[in-house]
Amino acid sequence: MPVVTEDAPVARRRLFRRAPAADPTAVLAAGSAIAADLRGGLAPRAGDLGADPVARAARRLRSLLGVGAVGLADLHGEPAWAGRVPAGAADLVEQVRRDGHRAATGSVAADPIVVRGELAGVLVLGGDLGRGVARRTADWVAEALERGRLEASAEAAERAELRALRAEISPHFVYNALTTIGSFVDSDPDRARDLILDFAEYIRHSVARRGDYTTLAGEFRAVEAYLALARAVLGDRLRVQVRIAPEVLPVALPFLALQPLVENAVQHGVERREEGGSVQVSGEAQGSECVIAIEDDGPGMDPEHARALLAGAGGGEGLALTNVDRRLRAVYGPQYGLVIETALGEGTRVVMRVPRFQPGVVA
Amino acid sequence: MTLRVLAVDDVAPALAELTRLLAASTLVGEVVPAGDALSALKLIKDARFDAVFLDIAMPGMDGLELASLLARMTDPPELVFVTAFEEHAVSAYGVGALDYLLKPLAAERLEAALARIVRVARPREPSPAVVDELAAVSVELGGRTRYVRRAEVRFAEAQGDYVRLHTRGGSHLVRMPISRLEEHWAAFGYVRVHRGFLLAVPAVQELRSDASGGLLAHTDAGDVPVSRRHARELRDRLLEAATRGDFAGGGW
Repeated sequence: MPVVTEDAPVARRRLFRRAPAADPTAVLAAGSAIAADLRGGLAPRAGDLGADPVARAARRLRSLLGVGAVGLADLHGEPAWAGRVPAGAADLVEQVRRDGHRAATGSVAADPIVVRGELAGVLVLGGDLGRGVARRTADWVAEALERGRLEASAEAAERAELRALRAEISPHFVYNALTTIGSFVDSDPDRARDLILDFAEYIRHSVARRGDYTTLAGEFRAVEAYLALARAVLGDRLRVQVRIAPEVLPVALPFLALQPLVENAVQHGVERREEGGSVQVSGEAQGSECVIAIEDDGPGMDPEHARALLAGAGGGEGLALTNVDRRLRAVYGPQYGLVIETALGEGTRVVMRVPRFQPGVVA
Repeated sequence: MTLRVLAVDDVAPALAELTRLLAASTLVGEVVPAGDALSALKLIKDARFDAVFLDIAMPGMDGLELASLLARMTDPPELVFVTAFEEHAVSAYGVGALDYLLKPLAAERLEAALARIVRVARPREPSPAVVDELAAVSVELGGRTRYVRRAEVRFAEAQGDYVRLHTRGGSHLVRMPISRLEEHWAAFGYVRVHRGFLLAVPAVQELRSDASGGLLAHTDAGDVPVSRRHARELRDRLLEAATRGDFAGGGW
């Protein structure tokens, strides 16, 4: 029967005995290795028991503290152990899980690991260590766990933000497209059917939920579907040319990095002008990079205004540009933002460069 | 031989459309519609079908469940999923589907799926295709017979009973239907991109779409028109070729 006790009487001299001179660099390295192991929480990762980071953290703690056994337990399940499992340890763990207080018997002690006021796990130390050391170790483990949680939620928030930045489908365009398709149902049923397939392609790509990346081929498919619809809506007013070199088709890039820019060019460069206008889209390889350009011969803008748009100071205007720019920088690094070449009355050319191969960016 | 196929979808208009498109194909002899997985199962147990076109999201037994039941049959019909969601593709191929079509259905994609079924259901007798008889084509030039190697041909253009073979150095007229050339050259990276054009996929340097939405494949022997119904296949073939690195050396 385990007993909840105050610390077993500790010989005072132990506290003053000089610890073996530890190499501070090694201690710090061990500390950060343990923190890294605990980043994913205390639950043992089933499947690869040999490489379970929690068990590795326990082993590292054991050699750092110089004790006989270290156990790290989650709120449920078997603890991860380093060293010989001390007798009665399982009962101690259960007891801490139940009431949240330190439990000890003989030279084995189980300390609660408390993250943000809530029990997150149990640290078991088998060996002669003071209560203070055990407490501080448990607190340190708790801090490592909390850091891990914060990192995970920061990453999730960043991912969520990037997803939220994906362009929204323009209701204006959807109604125009549907009206146009409707007008063809009687007069040209085959064309209506083709446009409905294009509409499905456009919507499917815009609401895609599989992962964060697509291929340039996939993005161009959506662009072509959009352009087929836009041509139907705008008729002769829209003159488009798309050129793409086949070697860049497999390049991976974030979903909807290109299509909103094409929509933007059609909206600003063509739609608002009675006489219409032309849009040119191109994709080609330049060394290890893929260069994509979207050009219109519309009204253009003051370069200062373009700079402000990229900086996000355009209010609702130019949102597509800002969003794509931010997502590209987040994925590829600050040097991969959009480049806008424009002047009043001179049209607008938006250039995007992405690496043809980027580790971690896989469609 | 034409195919006897079963169409399964719980949404009545979708089932009607699927049935209509299937019936319109020359490859299909008979289409039987079924409004749910259970009646489909009964039909399959009672009579032989060459293929089942199957929706995935259905109340009661869904398409994937029906598919895993069919997979246990000896000699099951070929399976093609028809669904609105791309996400199911992995599980669909996991239960042995031959193809996977997205809704709304494009007639060309449906036709391609049917062609695959025909190929699988009726494996060709081991043809003498092992003998690559058209690796070079003889042409008449100034009364003398010369040979044009296939590797030089960027694209072929149908001209009545003849085809014109376009190479970098010029073009040559050969008396042969383009369909015969396609039959022999399909295995060597040539794809029909238009009623009148057969194109070498690795020869494409650029895809261009013009103001009216027409698509052109640019090669160093000239531009090749790509018809709308072949555009998707060409894009897919180009993506495959590019993923393999066929254009890494700058193509042709």
